Amino acid sequence: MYVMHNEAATGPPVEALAGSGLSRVLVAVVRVTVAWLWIENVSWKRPPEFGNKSDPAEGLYQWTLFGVQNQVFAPWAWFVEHVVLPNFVLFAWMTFLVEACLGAFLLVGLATRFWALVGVAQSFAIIFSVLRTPHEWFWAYLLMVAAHLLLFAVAAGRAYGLDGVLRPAWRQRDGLPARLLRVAS
Amino acid sequence: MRTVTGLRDRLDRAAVALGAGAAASLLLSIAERAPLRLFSLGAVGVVVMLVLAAAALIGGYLHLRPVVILAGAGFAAAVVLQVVQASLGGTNTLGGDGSSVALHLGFAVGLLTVGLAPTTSSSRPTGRQ
Repeated sequence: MYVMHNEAATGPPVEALAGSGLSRVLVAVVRVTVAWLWIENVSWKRPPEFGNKSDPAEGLYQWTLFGVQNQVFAPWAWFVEHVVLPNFVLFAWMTFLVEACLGAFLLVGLATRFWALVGVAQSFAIIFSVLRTPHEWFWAYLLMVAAHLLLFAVAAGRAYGLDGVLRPAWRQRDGLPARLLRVAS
Repeated sequence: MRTVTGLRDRLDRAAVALGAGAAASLLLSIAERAPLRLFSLGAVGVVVMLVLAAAALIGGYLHLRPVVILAGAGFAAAVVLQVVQASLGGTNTLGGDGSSVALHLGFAVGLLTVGLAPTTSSSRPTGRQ
């Protein structure tokens, strides 16, 4: 299927993305798989200490230290050393909350484009922390970024997600929540 | 006030799908380790999740939105219980972990959104795509 344009005004016609039933199923599969990535990885971020009081350090505290010990990006390492580590429990709970929400919202496909962007940001935070840590496969983190960019680009929650169920209702309402949800979905 | 065409049916089907998804997700807590084990839950947690999943299924199938909302509220209560107990570092009634918190949060958000979504519109007869 082609989207027709006036070539003189906008250039050659642009071929639309595939919109078949199979494509929609595959988009949903990718969204749910990415959701499970976050869900599964919340399990090793264990409150209330998040590995801080262990000797040697373990869990989230150990992986946060890697951002300083194996510096990827100097300003990030400075931020981790001088801001994150002195307030570790606060940042650990924020990480726990953000990653739990990423898993939750991507799983049900609600406000998916917003959460896909959050996923990109969180993936970069992880990249800046552990990209140079020994034995890490850097492509894994680049693939995380790519997967979230794809979820954003195709508005993945509209394929078998709550965004697809609720957007018709949001389109017919004028309030701020409906407008925000239209943008976020 | 106008009813948004077909929305109630779609919301009920979504509640059924979420209930079925919640029950099916328990399969990912059975295996010994990843990739087939993606979260942990004790016997009490499994029973609670099955009851809440059944409530979502029944509420959606029988068009009983209060039951869908109750199921969503139940999942939300499970999230709060697990987070509070984890922060105190003691009892773990549901036998869960951070992954079960995230999973329950997803079903709580989903079912509460479906159950509480307005099905009427008073302002925009047509809208942007």
